[in-house]
Amino acid sequence: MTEHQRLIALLKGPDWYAHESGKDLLAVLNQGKRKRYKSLNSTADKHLSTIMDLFDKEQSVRILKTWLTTYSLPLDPNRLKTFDQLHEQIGEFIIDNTATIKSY
Amino acid sequence: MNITVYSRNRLYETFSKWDVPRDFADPMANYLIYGYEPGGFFTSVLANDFFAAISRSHPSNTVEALKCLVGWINDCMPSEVFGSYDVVADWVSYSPTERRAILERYGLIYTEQEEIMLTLRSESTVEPVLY
Repeated sequence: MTEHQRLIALLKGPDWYAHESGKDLLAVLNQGKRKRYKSLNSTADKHLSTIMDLFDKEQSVRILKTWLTTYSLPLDPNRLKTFDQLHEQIGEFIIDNTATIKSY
Repeated sequence: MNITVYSRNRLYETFSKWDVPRDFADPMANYLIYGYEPGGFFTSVLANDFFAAISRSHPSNTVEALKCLVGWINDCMPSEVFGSYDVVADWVSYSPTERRAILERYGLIYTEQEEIMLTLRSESTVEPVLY
């Protein structure tokens, strides 16, 4: 991610990033190729790294929730290389605040 | 150990399957999840000590409820958790991480990974009804 893209993402905020990255992932998924899930996971890894780099815990959860609920992306944590890092950084936060995250 | 409502409901589903009453299910769940000492009666039940269990039993405990609990213990409970007083003392002294690993291995609760995904997907879950 270039410095320019980083600045844009920070200025436009997590909501904008959630929808842009969600649409990007949907586009990968809708390619209709056999390797689309592999591409989906590698693209998701790229976005996850960016999210964890740019945004705080609450904003990261908001973005991930948008991916999984609004865009219904079929992300498999076992196939995501960045999921362990995500688990380490925000896993405890999610588990401790399940009721709030689930209902918002 | 902190678990989500998904894991809690998964564990309570097993109680519901065996018709274990809530008065019995709550101490068992607290023992399994948090490592709380389950009290004299339940400790004796878990330690396989019939005489002590009966002598410490509350008058309102019925044979029917005990049969349900024993069925649940035999069917669902990890072998690391019951069998003798030493085993019960060991379980209470385990770290939350060790307890979680065993409960996950026996499928009594979801893995942290699954809990994270279920929460983020806002999957619906229903609390099982216990009598």
